[in-house]
Amino acid sequence: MLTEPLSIIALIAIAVISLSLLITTDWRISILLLSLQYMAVFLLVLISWPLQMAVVKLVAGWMAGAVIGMAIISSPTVRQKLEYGSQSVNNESRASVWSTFIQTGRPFQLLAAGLVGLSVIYLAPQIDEWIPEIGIVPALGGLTLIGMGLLKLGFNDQPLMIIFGLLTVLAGFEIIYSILENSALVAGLLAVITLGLSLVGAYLLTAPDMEGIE
Amino acid sequence: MSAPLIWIIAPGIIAGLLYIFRRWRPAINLTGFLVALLLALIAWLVPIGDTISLSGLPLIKIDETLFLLGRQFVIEDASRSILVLIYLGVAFWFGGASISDSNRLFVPVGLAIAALLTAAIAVEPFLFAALLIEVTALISILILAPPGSSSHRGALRFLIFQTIGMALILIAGWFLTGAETDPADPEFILRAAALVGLGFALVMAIFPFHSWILLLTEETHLYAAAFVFFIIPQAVSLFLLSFLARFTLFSGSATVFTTIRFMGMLMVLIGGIWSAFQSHLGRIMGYAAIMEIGFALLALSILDPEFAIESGESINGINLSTQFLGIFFAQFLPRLIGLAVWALALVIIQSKVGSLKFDNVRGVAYSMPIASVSIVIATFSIAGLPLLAGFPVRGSLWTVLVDQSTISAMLTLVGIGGLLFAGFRTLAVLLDNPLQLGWQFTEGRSQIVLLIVGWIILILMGILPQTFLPSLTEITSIFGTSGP
Repeated sequence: MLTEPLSIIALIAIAVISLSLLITTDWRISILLLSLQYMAVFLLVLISWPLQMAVVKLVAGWMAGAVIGMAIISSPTVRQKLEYGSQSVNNESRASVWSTFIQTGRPFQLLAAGLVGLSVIYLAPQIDEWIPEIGIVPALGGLTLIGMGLLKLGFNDQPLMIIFGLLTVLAGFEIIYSILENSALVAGLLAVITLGLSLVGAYLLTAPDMEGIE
Repeated sequence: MSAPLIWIIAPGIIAGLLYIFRRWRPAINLTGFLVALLLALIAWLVPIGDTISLSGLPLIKIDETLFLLGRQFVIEDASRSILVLIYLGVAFWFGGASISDSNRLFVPVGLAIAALLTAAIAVEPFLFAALLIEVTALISILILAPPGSSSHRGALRFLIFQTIGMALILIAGWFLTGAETDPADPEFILRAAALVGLGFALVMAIFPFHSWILLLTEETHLYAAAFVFFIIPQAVSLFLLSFLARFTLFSGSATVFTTIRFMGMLMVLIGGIWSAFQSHLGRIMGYAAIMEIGFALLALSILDPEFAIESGESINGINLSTQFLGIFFAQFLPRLIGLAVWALALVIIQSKVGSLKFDNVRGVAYSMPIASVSIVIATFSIAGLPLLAGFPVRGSLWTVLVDQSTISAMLTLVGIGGLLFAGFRTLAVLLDNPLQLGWQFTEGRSQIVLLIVGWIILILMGILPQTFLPSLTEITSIFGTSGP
């Protein structure tokens, strides 16, 4: 069982990491943030699951990040495309930090994240009331991830960012569902889905260049 | 040996092997077809749970249960008819894989999908089927976004809806299980119903979450897309039926069936009317697939216990009479054949003319008459025109529906009218021949044979419904009622 201060640290980490993941466009930073996010998810899942089962979430999450990272590294075309996207943002930032901040839509993303934060603060006690087993900290953590993940899905149309959004939503759901269901089969299937999402992400990134190879 | 080992693990392993050998496309297509056919044949002939004897000597006994990670996968003898349908359906689809020039992942992925859907039917507790349907959606991406394709909007939207829908259904299932132990709290059930409704709407492509179907009709190989349009909503509708049968508190509410009926009617109406105004053959098929989801919902809505007929049994909160439940299952086969023939004809035309926009396919009937007639027959069959496969089932559904909700029945007819209009427009465009071209057959020989086989099945099923309907309505036995 996890101590309360550690679960609060995990909750704060989730809020900061998911917000950073929402606004970043760099794939390396995104993968790093995703790995840290799964660390925090692991800590919150540890509240209700034994260590050997909770660690499945951590391993699956880290493997998901590794799969996506390897797919990008192994394909020069994909890397070039993704890095070109990040560079164009950086080049603009040399001209004027403020104008880039406005042009990339970050203020709107931060505003939307703030609204999601307020909604989570409002909803979490209700969820705690509907599902008394859950506890306020996991409810806040789970809902924050679901909200931020949905925002990520809404703000992006690139496969990589959509997969990050889906993994974030799924991680939030897993925190809540781990309290309701502790079956090994569910843990296994959710790990398969996490890995499957990352494999699909890797596939969609590389699929446009696969014609000759296949 | 256990039944889940034969119909879940074995096809899963074979799908993996076919994936490894995917470079030999004709061989894997043929192997996949034969394996699916063999599994359907075994399901048809071999009883589950009984010892099979040869000349009085006991040979083998197929057990019902397989334990995996502390949970059970159970395939009872009553489920054999649905296994036949799953694997026969998949075999039928694989039969056209080479001819439709589907990508080399189609057969391995298709077989894996069949195995996963069988697992979804067999898993206990049945709620975990949501997870298996999500895994099915994940692997479907391999055929919806084939190697070389650059636009994945439809596939990504499909994935988003499936993932969020799965999460909602699992949470709703927990709510409903809790509500059964404490049925005093009606607000609890209301919350669960809202989650169930949203979850199934997302997973089953119910309006307004149907957009991925239309995106896919323009982005991906239509034969693979039609396979997914058929198999995913089919599996989810079966899951929804199990949901209604299992959670009595949920299905006992009058608003549940009214909502399902309304959504089904809306899907048929919207699909039909919008199909009439499309100028892209692929999108018309997409709208027809949306209508089929609507018909599946309407077939579920007639199970409303409020309208249980005298001969029917009302078990577990829904009307499980063979007559009504049979209509739900009887739709499977005409839907399967109709969509497969339609998609095959479209990819044949697309391979010759490039785009399926009306401007590109004008007069195509003169160079590809068999494919053109196939499109028209499939359209009319799905619309439920007399003498075609869809008619007997649509007729039965409509007869029951008109008793339960006349407005829904009438608006459904408007939707059907829209699809018929789309069929006539398609026919007019395909026959439009300003250059006075002569008739010729540019389809391949195997394409002609397969399409004509499709016509024959669609017509035979329309004029001799008694040959296929009883075996389909037998599937009702998995819900504890016997077939006719």
